[in-house]
Amino acid sequence: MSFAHSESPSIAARSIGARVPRGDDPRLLTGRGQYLADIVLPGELHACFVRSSAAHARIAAVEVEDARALDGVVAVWTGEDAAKFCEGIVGELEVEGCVATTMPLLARDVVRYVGEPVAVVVAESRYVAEDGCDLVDVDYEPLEPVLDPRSALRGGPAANEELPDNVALRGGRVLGDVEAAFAGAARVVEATFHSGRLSAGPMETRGVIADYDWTSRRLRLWTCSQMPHYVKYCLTAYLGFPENECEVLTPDTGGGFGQKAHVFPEEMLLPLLARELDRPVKWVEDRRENLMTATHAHEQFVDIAYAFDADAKATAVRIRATGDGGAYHQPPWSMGVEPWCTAMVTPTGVYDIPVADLTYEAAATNKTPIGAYRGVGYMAGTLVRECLMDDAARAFDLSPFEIRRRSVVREFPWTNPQGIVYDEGSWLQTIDELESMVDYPAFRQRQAALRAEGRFIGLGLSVFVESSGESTAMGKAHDLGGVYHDTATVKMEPNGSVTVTIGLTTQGQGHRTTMAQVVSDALGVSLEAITVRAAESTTYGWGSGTVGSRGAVIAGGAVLRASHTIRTKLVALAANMLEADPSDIDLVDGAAVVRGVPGSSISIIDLATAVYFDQSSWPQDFDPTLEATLAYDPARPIFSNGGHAIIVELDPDNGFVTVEKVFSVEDCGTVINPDIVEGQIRGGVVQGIGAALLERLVYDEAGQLVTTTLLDYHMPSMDFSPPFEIHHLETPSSHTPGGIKGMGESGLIAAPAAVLNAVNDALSHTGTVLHDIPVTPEQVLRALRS
Amino acid sequence: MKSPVFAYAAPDNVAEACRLLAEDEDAKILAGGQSLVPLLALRLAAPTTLVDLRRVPGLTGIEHEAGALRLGAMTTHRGIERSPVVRDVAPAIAAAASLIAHPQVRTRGTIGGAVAHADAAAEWPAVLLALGGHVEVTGVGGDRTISADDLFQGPFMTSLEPDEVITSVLLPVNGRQIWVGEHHRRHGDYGLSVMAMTYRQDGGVLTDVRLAVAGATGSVTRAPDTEAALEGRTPADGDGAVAALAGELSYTADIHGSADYRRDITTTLFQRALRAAGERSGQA
Amino acid sequence: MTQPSEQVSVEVEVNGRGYRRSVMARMTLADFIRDELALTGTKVGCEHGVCGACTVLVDDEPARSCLMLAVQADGRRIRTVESLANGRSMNPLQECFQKHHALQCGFCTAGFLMSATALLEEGQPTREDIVETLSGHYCRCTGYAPIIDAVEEAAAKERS
Repeated sequence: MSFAHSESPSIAARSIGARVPRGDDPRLLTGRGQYLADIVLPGELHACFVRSSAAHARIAAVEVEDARALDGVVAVWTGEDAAKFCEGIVGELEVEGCVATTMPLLARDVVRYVGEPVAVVVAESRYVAEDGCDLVDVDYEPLEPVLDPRSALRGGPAANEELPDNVALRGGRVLGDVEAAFAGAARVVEATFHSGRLSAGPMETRGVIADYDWTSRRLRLWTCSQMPHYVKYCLTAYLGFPENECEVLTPDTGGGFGQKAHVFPEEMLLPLLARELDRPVKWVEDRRENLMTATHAHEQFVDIAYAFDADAKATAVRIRATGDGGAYHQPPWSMGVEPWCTAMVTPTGVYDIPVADLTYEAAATNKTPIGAYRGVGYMAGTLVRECLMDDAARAFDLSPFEIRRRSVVREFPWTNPQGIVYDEGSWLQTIDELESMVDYPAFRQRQAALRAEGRFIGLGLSVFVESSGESTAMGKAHDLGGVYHDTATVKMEPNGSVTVTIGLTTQGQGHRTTMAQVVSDALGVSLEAITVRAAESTTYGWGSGTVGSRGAVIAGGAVLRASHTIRTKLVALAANMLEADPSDIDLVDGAAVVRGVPGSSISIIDLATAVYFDQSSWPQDFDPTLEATLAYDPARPIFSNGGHAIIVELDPDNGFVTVEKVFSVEDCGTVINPDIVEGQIRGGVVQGIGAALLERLVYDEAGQLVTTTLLDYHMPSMDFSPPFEIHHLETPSSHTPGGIKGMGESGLIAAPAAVLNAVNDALSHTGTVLHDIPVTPEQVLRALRS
Repeated sequence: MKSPVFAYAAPDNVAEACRLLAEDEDAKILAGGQSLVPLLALRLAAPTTLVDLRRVPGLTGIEHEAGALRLGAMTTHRGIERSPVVRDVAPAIAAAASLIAHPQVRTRGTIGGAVAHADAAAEWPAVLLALGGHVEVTGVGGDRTISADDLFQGPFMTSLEPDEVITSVLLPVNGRQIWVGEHHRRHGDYGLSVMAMTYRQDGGVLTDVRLAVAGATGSVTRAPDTEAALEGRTPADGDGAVAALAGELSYTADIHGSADYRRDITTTLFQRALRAAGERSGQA
Repeated sequence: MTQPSEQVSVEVEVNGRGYRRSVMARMTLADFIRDELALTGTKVGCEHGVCGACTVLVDDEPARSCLMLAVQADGRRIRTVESLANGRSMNPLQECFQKHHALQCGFCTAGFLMSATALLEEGQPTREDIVETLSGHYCRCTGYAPIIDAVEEAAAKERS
């Protein structure tokens, strides 16, 4: 089936491709950004949560009277109070083998992870609300915590009684004759990987403000969400607020990286509190809560094996991805999407591997629910695929570039064994480009020379293909449900200026600038004449969320389609006024010009003015609506690709790993703004370096989270971050606006594998090969001394 | 993450500070606050009274007298790091200051506060111990001097009485070689192992060796067997001392490293100290 | 005789303007600046002294405003990000941040700018000085390299 909103008009790139400085910057650089905590509503109250101190326990009693009696405390709610309005929020993944869970807004009867909200104290200030929380006394009767996902799946106590066998998700596919492929292999390379538990760690924590006016039944909810329209939907679906009187507002947001792409119990609780208490209620998450409860990410155990023929070409893959899911599915993504994506989407990557045995499973555990973080499933999947490729390179005594060239897909369109079609890509070129960027022979010489001096450097390679522009077609290609379209509104005013609203919220990606570049080229107006509003309010348009590297493609498509409607009217009017054929009119540099007729032009300002004030200039049947709202959802899945080569050095005194340099190749089709693309790469790669070398959320044997402050959860700082060399390849998509592709996740998707490979390369003389991230200094030191 | 309620006072003399401390057994001194304020925010500390020393005169300043550096207790790490006097007479002390956290913390954190806090991973207690320094304190009952060896009693534990205020820290630097180093993952991190070694060096031979370790052990501690094993030897002849160090201390384990790991990196740190000593005497 | 009190009086100069407020002794300088003075350009990222977002200048030296009680700033001179622009234009450091794409979400930016301001005022920082000082700040978006470039260029502009 085809739909009108999948068609994107063509566009001539002029502003597109330029390093346009971001319009948001002067505001943000002068302290005028308005983030959630900066908003103060008259009479606002402050909420603070009492959170479970037990990993798994029966709640015998919750004593709240002392807290209620504290001066300045307005209300204390427990699970019973919240359940009167809402049983909880349901999470599941719409694939075979998923069992849903319901997450209560406040725990009743049983707590299932440390940090789970048990009660909420609402007070005149955050200080007093915290004092009140200290006075709430919860009596826990301990239950056995379920902490090891692999043993949990074999039986034993249940982490969450909704999942009695701890199986939240289990499924898979066998594609081709796997047994024969492995039996006939010249060599099989296999390993078990563990990718550690991470926090997305946005600099701004979560936060919510709810304000309800009973006279109009109007609810306003400020939340720094990546999915405000979905949050709004939930306000009606779960809480019964009338949809037409709900507004979700998203102020400036200090990073999200997927963590803010969920609906949270706190977001559902605050509107109820605001309504029942008849005062605005604000909750600004603190960093300890953020590390403890704002979803964890990426943790998986993955068993993977490749069969190779005698020419070192991969012929088959077998993979089992096991997610350590936490106690609930966090809607809407669930604990399942991480291992599902790793197993079902990533094992073949850029390689022509015709046979595949794919298994995914997610275990419920008494830990914080797993949520989305940049590169969901792709990061772990790329880690295991690319690191196993380097293991194979060592086994075959080939260079990491050559082993990949033996299997890389060279002809497009290409259909992988899962049936996903890749229309185009620069997969081979990426490998070649990286090889020349690092000057591979020179690197090997330097490595040998340094090794003779007792210094250990290593080179790691990782190449990727990334689903981008999350869309309905993308979901279908992967046997997932879901409809993902966004709308945009483009409005031209009488003086020719343009106001654009998009359905996406923005967390620092510069969408307002890149979308202005698209509109500038579509309408021929200058960037100064364009104002882009992201989804600062759900009053604007519809958006499926800033997720899945979809911003540039989906918003770009919607903006382009809406601009095209305006463009068509301006062209018709100009043709009438200039007495030319519409097909000869172009809009460029602020004017409509007649191609091939020098001097025959009219400014776009004059055209706009004529639309509003001069009916005599209109052609027959002209409709003067200079405002258009259109949707976009690409007809086909879109994939960007690229790779990183990373050089590290190991310190033999302490096992510390230093990243010396990062070489990146990115192909996201037509680049709208190279500064912004490179910013996404650097930021994502450094997050990947953190994942590979520093960041780890740790539970002890009682299920207590040990890493609850930034003193223990270490993220990369400036001294831990390398210089970059970035090259762009441009293989445009044939069916997106201007050929652009999404790329927001690529850095984090592929960097950890490159870092781990580099460490293993530096250790290659020792015989030790590491397969877990983060790599610890202790592991490196042990290996260097073995 | 907001502090619990406390009462606050900023007396303008030491005697008044001591009186306030004596009046409330749950009172705490506030110096720079760089360790105390986060503990308050996390509600891991809940003093009922904070006695702020910021108005007490005479608690800052750096003097070099009688072979020692006298550092006013409220002197900031940044002040020490940048002090021309310290850089002149004991550059290793200035360098040690620069290992503490980040500049934004060093501008506020004080040496007296750091010594009194006695964090097991902190630099100043190790330096004080390795130099055989002492602190001058004032309490309700009068003044006294406490040697570093007597001051540190364990993690976050000192022999200070609850009403006592450190007024200055004395570091006897003259005639001593000082080496301070640590293994830290990122700038400003707590050291996984912190070491301060001081000694006299005569014709390549090390004497009067004092070695203090922090970070890797449960509390800041000296390593007497190692000191003895090195006494009278050249840095190149340090194998016995290296072996002693691995054996004599009790190393801690946490999520950042096992006890074995900490032993290993403390050994390599000591080897760095020995190499530095060898370079100083012109023999590698 | 000094009497301990839960309520304290604070008199400070912030961005050239004097303020006097009576606040809880337990209030941090960060909360004081944001909530009492409504200068919300200073951000709070961790409240335990690690992330650096709340960094302000106290008597020209960078300090974490979450690690100071408001009362500790009594009698001091504070500068926040709101003080940096020259009238209606950004100062050279801010311009360099924009030029080098040294910010994305902008939440950490005020802290970086204040530490960098102190660094530039102290003299001519080397690249190593910049990294040493700004390693006391987290940025989760940029990967840091553009921030180093921006401060380096701002330092070069001051030289010329």
